[in-house]
This record gives sequence, C-alpha cells and structure tokens, in this order.
Amino acid sequence: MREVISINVGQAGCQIGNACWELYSQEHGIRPDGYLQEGLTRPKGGEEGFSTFFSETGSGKYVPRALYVDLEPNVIDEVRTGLYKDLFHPEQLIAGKEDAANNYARGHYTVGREILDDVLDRVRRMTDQCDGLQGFLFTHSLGGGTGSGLGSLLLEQLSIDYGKKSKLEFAVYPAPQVSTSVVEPYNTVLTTHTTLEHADCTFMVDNEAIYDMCRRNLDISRPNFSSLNNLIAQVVSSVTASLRFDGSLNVDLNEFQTNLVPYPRIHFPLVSYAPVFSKTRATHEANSVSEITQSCFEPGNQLVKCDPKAGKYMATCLLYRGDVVTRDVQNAVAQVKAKKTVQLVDWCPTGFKIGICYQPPTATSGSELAAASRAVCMLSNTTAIAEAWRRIDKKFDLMYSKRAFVHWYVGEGMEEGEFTEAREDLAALERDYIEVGTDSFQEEEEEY
Amino acid sequence: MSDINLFVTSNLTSSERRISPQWTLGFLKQKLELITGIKPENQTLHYYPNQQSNEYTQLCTSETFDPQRDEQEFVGSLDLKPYSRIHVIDADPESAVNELSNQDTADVEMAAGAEFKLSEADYAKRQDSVLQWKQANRLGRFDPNYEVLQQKEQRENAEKIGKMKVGDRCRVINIEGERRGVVKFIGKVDIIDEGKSDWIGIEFDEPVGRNNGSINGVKIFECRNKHGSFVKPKQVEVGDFPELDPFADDSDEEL
Amino acid sequence: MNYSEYDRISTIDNKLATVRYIGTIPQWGDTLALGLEWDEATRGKNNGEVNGITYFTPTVPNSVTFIKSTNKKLVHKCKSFVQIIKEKYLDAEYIEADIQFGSKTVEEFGWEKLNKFQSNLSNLTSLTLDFHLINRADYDKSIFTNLGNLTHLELSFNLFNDITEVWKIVDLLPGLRELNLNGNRFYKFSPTNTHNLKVLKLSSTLVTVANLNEHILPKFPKLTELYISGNNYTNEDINNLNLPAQLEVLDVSYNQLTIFPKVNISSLNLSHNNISDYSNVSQLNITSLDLRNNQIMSYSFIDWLSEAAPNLQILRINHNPLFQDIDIMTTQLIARFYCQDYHAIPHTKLYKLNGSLLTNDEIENSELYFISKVQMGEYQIDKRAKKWLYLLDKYKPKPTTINIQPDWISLTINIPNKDPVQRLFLLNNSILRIKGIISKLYLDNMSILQFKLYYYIDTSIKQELKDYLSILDTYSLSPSQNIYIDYS
Repeated sequence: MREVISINVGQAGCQIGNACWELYSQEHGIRPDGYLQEGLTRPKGGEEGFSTFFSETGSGKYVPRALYVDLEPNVIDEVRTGLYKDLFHPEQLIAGKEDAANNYARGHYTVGREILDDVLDRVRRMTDQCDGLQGFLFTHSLGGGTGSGLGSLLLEQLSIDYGKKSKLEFAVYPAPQVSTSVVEPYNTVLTTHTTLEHADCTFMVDNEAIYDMCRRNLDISRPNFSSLNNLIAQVVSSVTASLRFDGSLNVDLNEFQTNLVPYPRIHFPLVSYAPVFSKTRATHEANSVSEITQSCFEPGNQLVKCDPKAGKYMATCLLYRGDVVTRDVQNAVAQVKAKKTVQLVDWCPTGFKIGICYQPPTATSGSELAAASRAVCMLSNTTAIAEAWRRIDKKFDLMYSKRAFVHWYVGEGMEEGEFTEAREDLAALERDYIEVGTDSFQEEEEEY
Repeated sequence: MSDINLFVTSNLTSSERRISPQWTLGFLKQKLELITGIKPENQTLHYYPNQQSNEYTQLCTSETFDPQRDEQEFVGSLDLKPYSRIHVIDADPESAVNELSNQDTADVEMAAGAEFKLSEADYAKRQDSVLQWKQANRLGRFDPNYEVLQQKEQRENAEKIGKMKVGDRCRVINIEGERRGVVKFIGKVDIIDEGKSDWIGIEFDEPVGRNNGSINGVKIFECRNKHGSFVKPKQVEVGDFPELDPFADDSDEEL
Repeated sequence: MNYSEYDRISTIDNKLATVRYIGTIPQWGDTLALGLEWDEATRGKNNGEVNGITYFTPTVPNSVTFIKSTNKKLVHKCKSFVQIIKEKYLDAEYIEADIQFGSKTVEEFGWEKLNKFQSNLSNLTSLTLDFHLINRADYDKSIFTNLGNLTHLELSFNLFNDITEVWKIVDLLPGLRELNLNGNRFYKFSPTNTHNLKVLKLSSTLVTVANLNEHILPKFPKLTELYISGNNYTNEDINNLNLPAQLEVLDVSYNQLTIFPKVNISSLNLSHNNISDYSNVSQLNITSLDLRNNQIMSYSFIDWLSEAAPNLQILRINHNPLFQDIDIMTTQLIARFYCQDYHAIPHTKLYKLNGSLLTNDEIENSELYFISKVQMGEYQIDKRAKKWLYLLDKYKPKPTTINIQPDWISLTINIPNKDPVQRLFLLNNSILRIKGIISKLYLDNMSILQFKLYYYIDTSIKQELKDYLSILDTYSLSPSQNIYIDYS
C-alpha cells in the first residue's frame, strides 16, 4: 500500500476538500455513508488505487485518509452536519474556536500554534496506520489567515516530523482583480516565503480563472462557491488520477517532483484542463484528441491567469484520460510542435512527457461539467507563472511602503524583519524565474 | 437567531462572510476593519438588501460615530437579510485604504522607494538561488560547452545567411502561423543586441510585422508600417513562396 | 472512384456533402464534375443550377456547389467499419513518434501498453470513430465476436447513406447501449429487427420524423435517451413523434420550435429554438429542462411553466429576451418557481438554476426582495397565482405596505451650474434616502453631509429638508416643486 494523506486547512481548503472527496467517493463507487454502492464488492480503481486515498475498516466501510483543520468552527460544522457527515470519523475534523481574522500572524503564531499539537497528533495517528506512506496532499488558500498562517506552520512541522516524504500543495492564489480581504498580499507573501523550502510541488488555483471558466465554458450566469469548487475538484481529480487509478505518468507522489521540478524553488507548475463544457451542450462541442490538446494551450483553460506564450517551459506533462489511441495523441503533440507553441529550456534537466490514465473522467450529479469520453490535464512548469508573483509583490509593496496594517501583525508577535525577509525571498524567486529561462538556445525565436 | 451569510464589499475588497445577529454593532465594525482595512470610526455602511440591485439604505455614517451606541446596538436589530450586501465606505480621504484605492485605479507609477528592488549583487549573494545552482552545476552559460554551442549556432546562422540575399522571397513559421515576405536586410543591428549577432530584416506581404523597418527611430530598411520584423537567420526559410492570397481558393474552381 | 447519386463525400478538412449530380458541366468540358449538396449550407453558392441549367433541386435551398472531381480538396476514399478496426487497433503497432522540442525528445509513458491492451478487442468498451470516412460495415467474424464488450459506439460524421449498413454493425453488437450517428445523412431505409440500445444520437442528420417513426424508433423499444437536435424540426414534427415508452431524455435543441411541445419526458432539452408560446398542457413530469436561447418574452410563460411542471428540479433558461439583466432574472425566477436548497435530499423542487446550485439563503433573499418589489408596484405578478399565495403564506409580509399604486411626487432638482432635472420620488422615502439618490445621480456621489436640500414655502421662507429620518410626505410639497442644493 502506498498511502497519501490529504490535509485541508482553512475555509477554502476545507470547502475544496469537500468537493474533492465527494468526487473521489463517486469515482471509486463509495456512498456518502462510506459503504460501497449497489452491486460493487470492491471499490472501483483496483486495490492499489483506492487504498492510496481510502482506508478500509473491518466492517466494510471506507474512510478517506483526510484531515480537515480550521480555526473557526463554521465550515467544519457544515461537514459534520452535511451529506457526507458519515464518511469521516469525528477525529478527522479539527476546529478551533477563534478564527485567524485574515491575519497570517494569528494563524502562524498565536491562535494557530495552540491547535498545532492536536493536529500533529492526529496526523501521527493516521500515519501510524500506513504501510508505505508516500506523503501529503495539502489544500489551502494563500490569502486567508488560517490557510496561510496555520498552513505554513503545519508544512514546516511536517518537514521536521516526516522529513523526506513528499508534500504536494493545492493553493488558492488571490484573484488578481478582486481581493477578499485587504491584507491578502501580506498573507500570500509571508506564507509563500515560509513554505517555499517545505513543499515539493505546488499547484496554484486562481478563483478568477475558475470563475471565468464557469461563466464562459459552462454558461453559468452567476457562479457561486459550489460551481467554482466543483470545477476545481474535477481538475484536482485529474491531477491525482494516476495515484488512484491505473496510469502511466505521475503514479507516485514523488514523481510529480521528478517530472516537473528542475530545481526545488521552481516548483509551481501551471495546470490546464480540457475539455470544459456543460452537459447540455455536449453534442455540439469539439472533443477530438487534437482539439482538447490544443485547448490546453489556450489561456481560457488555465487555472492561473498568465501568458505562457511570453515565457519558457522547463517541463511539461500531458496526462490523457479515457478513450484515446496512441497515434491520435502522437499527431496532436506533433501539431503542438509545428505551431511552435512550446519552447523548452534545453539545459534544464526536465522535459516533455505524455502519459495516460486508463480511467475516463467522471461527472458528478451536482456538477455542470459534462463527462467527456476523453480529457487531458496539462501540468507545465513555465516561467510565465512568475507573473502571479509579480502581481502580488506589487500589491505588497503598495501597502508595505506605508506600513499599512502592519501593526495587526506586529501586535500578534511578528517583527517587521519577517516582512522584509519574506519580500526579499519573493523578489529572489522572481529573479530565479528569469534566470531559469535564460541561456536557452531557443532564444532564436526572438523577434523585434 | 442563526448566523447570516452575506456579502461584504468595499473599494478594494469583495467577499462572502458570515455574521452573527448576537454581535454588537461595534464588534461588527471591528470585523469589517479586518477585512476592508477601514477603521470603525471612519466606516460608513450602506446596506443593499438584494446584492443584485443598486438600491441601498444607510446603516450608519462615520459622522455619527458613537462607540457607546455601537456597544448597545445589536446586528440582529438591523434586520439584515441573508444573501444581502454591506458596502463599507472609508470616510477618511487620507486613510491608507483610500490612498491605496487611488493608486490602484489610477495605475500610477509607484512613488520612489515604494517598490522593492533586489540588487544584482544581493541576488548573487543568496545561497539557494537558481543562479547559484546553475553555477554549481555548470548549467546554461556556465556550461563550458556553452561557448562551443554558441559558436556552433553562429556558424549555422552564418551558413544560412550565406544562402540568402536581399530580395529573396521567404517565409517565417512560428506561433503566429506562416508569414511570407521578402528579405530586405541581412546584418548586425547594434540597437537590438550591440552587434552580437546577425539579424534578418523582412518585409512581410501582410501587415503582420512589428515595425516599419526601423528600431527606436533608427531606420534599417525601407518598409511599410507594420510589415517589418527582425528575426534570427534560423527562423527564415528562403525559397519559392509566392504571396498567399487569402481570398483565392486553390487553383480549382467551384461553381 | 465511381460515384452514385446520394453518395456521401468529405473534403480534406472534414467538410461533408451529398453527391447529387455526376456528369459534365459545359464550362469544364470533359472533366467529370460533381454537384454537391453541402451539410453546411452556407458553403453553397447556388440552388442546383449553373448558367441557366438546373441539374437537381437540393433538400436545403442554396446549399450547392459544383466541383471538379479532380479538385484537390476532395477525399476520394471511403472505408468500412472492419477496415478501420483493423487499421486503428489490430494492426496498430506501437512506434515511438520521436517528436523533438528543441533538443528534447518527447517521452511517451504507457503507450505501448495501451496499444497492446487495445489490440485485444475484448478490452474495448467504448469506440470513438468520428470523421473516419466509413460508409459500410463489411464483415469479419472474429472482429465482431471479440467486440462483445463494446457498450458505446460513436460513428458520427462518417459517410453512411444507407442506414442498413449501420444496422449491420449494430446487430452484431448485442451489448451495445449507446450509438452516436450525428452528422450522417441517411437516404435509404429498410425493415429491421429490434435491439436493446438505450441511447441514440441522430443530431444534425436531417432525418425526418416519418423515417424516425417508421424505420428507426421501432428498432429500439428500450430506448431511454434520444438526441435529435439540429434537424429543422417544426412544432408539428415533434407532435408527430412516436416516442418510445421508456424514454427519459429528449434533446430537440437547435430546431424550429415556436411553442413548448406537448411531450412528457423527464429530461428535456429545448435550447436554441424560437419558443415564445405555451399551450394548455399541464401536469408535466419534467425534472430537468433547458430553455436557453429561445424567444420567451413574458412572465406569463414563466408562471405557466412553474405550475405546469411542479416537479422541476433543474432549469436553464438564460439568454431569452425576457431577461435583459442577469440579476433581475435570478431574483424573478427564484420567486416564481418552487425552490429548495440543494443540500436537502431528496430533491423534489428546483435546486439548480442556470447552472448554479441554490441555497436557502439565496432563495429567502430573492423571495423577500421580490415581495417588496411587487408591493411597490415595480414587479408584477397575478395576485391569484399559486406561487404568490405561497409566498404570502410563507413570509406573511406586513399588509400596510401593500400598495398597488405607489405614492410618488415629481420634484424639480436645481443643481448649481446645471440645468434643472425632474424626477419622481416616493413619498415614503426618508430624507436620508432622497439625499442619497440625489448625491448618486447628480452630485457624483458627494457625501450627503456636504450639501443641503431646501425649498421655498413661499417666496421668502426657506425650508431645509433636514431631518434624515423624516419622510418626504411630511413636508408640504407640491408636484414639480423646486428643490435647491446648497453646498455647505
């Protein structure tokens, strides 16, 4: 057994977690109460597959290998009283009483620290049950107080306690146009700095990109959180598909790092997914292998808004699911090459890989997304994603130059020095992305 | 009374929040400060009963700020409906928030010193940077082979140049598709890269170029506006490439 | 290649057409020419005639061009189903493609294993063979025997013109449950026996209802899903359909319907038609309905639908002329339909609207807002409508505010250095509100503390509108009274 433990921290982390576990259960044939669906004797996906994410009790019940952590009780209470309340053991849902008030310092130092031991204890109990723990899947937001503060604190501790085990992150990046709180840039920069050396691979999700996909591709006139989270869950499912079903690429957690990360700091691949169209439009949508492959390179199918055409690729993984034939895929990739859409940095140790997961995509009843006969998920490590850091760094500077709201953080025991240190680290990260994209002979593509 | 989900907006933020009718107005304002950055004494609250309509009522203003009253009034008495919206306005024109919103919308150049800059020297000192890694592992330009490869590039370019001359029909194929034109210039362009390598100046048939044959005001070759570009020799294919007529079907007719 | 009339043909960029004429055209001398009726009618240049000579009359007007058979755009090939299976799966040896991006070669993981897996046909449960130039079945016993596990077959946009060829394939696949024939054109039909297929797709085939009734639907008595969009059907066509008894899903989108059809199906897709009317049909058992992109123009349609389809759970109705504003649309729809929170299981009422799942909060807010708008006279609903009575009962709103005719007064606002404007204000609005409106509309959102409003009781006595909580009605204002603004 090669177990993966999922940890969801903060409001965003827990809500996305909900949507994901709902989808995973359906994909594996497990009912909301944890027992198998009618007609099944074993969960779908083969023995090796489901057991990475679900443990099995003696009574034939399946329990997610998951932990939900939040500093305030509301979202956890929703899980405790919602449709999937019987899926989780009460010990897996940890809620504090006082929230982090959008403040990294409270999540990381004062309030968060109080709950830390409890969480680590639960983690230890789950890992003790594992034969061959692969590592952890961490979901949280970068802009909130709990997600950023407690999230980074936990990741630091997991490095200490579990050393070499892989840690993958799904991080909700603050939407470029509209903030949910005025201090998001501070929280984002602080947590990214703290977490940088502890996460092996981080997949960012920008709510605005998802929102646009919901409106444009799924024709949802007013997307709400459940619309967004259902779509995010589909994408997260396709990223983790090879861990849970028979696949050929990214079969183990550490493979993500091997395939995508040339140097530890540069570990933020861009995720794209196709096709995205709604159930009632499905008859008229283009779904051939070459069409969905091309879609991956369109900005409208990316989970973070940035312009890959302006950047260089260090690594690309294309993971196909469903009804595909080798030759169609090879043709599709040849077309990508002909259009010169992708410029790989030649001295980088990573490259271009294509794989297949034999399980086709599933559509849940709640989701608007049609179940296509085939789908593709692209993970590309591109320098273009540094745009995301530049954006947030600029907002950080606007505020920090006036020391706006810094007193909230200092009041919880932080020092201004940590701000400058974090900002410098992000500036170095931006510089790293520039450096990683230079010296490639592909510069022949320049035009003036 | 149970908690209410509603939307909180301000100039800089927009989010869905949960508030309790048991809170005092003062406590609500403190919570709003943490989200919007606006101090309670500067908060003017507008209540939009339906977040999809522009009608609002004023809940309280900064002018009538009364901390004592705020401790005695409860959110419950405001009769806020779930899924409605509270918009928070900052009445202090000189507050941090108002300064930030002005800069945000005006997209003004940041005041000197506001933008954080990492000097090249400081970056070079960092122990765990990509630069360090490249140096330590002899990657990229630190690869002893780099020079060799560069020279090979230059030779290949030179070879290519040897086979083309000004006036040749040519085409360039890349992300932007296929563009055809005429070679108008071969040589070094100081302005682009201080004369480090050779460039090919092309006048395209269609207005799909970057310039009119000039760079930064210096004219390199004669060309119509938006029809010219400078590219590396390896990008250019010389040969029999007559103009693509977008309006002509192929040679066969269709009636 | 030898062509016959009604053969199907494809271009190199996958555009399909029906051959209607094979022969010579005076302009082109001896070259064999083909008169083609294009599936995409916009590609046509004429109605079957060139230079005064009519060669044939197409089914769809002006969808014809004449083309030399030597034209390089045409693909003069057609395949059989058996051939394609052999080419794509049996004889497909895995060869690494060796694609280079700069100095890097693309690494392929798992493809050889996939090829091996797929070459064993009994592993295949789903086959997608669209745009494969297939026009016939052919026969190979081992192939069909091994495809016993196939449940899902897509043969869309191929070159079939005789449906019997399709039946030859289908009848040898007894396990087949889903068949996609979109984009084909069938000109020949014949009697056939039954099959246990569940899902059938015949969109963009222009198959007539007569042929459906006589030659296709009887073959599939167990059919649960039927997709016949984009076939130019009229209201009469749909009414004449003999639908299978167990049908649960019907897609008639992209047709020419103008009135809500009299079909009682659980999941109905009517999007992209011209529907604006409804009939006296009631007691529809529809649970999922798509009415996007139609011509719905009145709320009476909505109110009829709300009562005629009481079990409605999922509704899509955006992009209709009635809804100019997304926000008003959502509020109105929630108020007029019977809605529930999507968390509450089982689902018996509307829980998903225009793609978004509904929550109790959203429902309550919209319903309350709707009630207040009706009381103010801004929204209209038949006061005898069941849903309105339901709302009154649910919220028991205060009766004093029920005014069919709101009390308004017209005032003339005098803005310094600008022309005066006339505007209606509600008499029961507070001064606070009035100032807010004036500030927003005419004073660029100036703080209400920065200006004063006043009027003249008579030529010399100035009265300020000062008490924020007092309402307009308490002041003795006459219609078109002049109100002045003073900056403080």
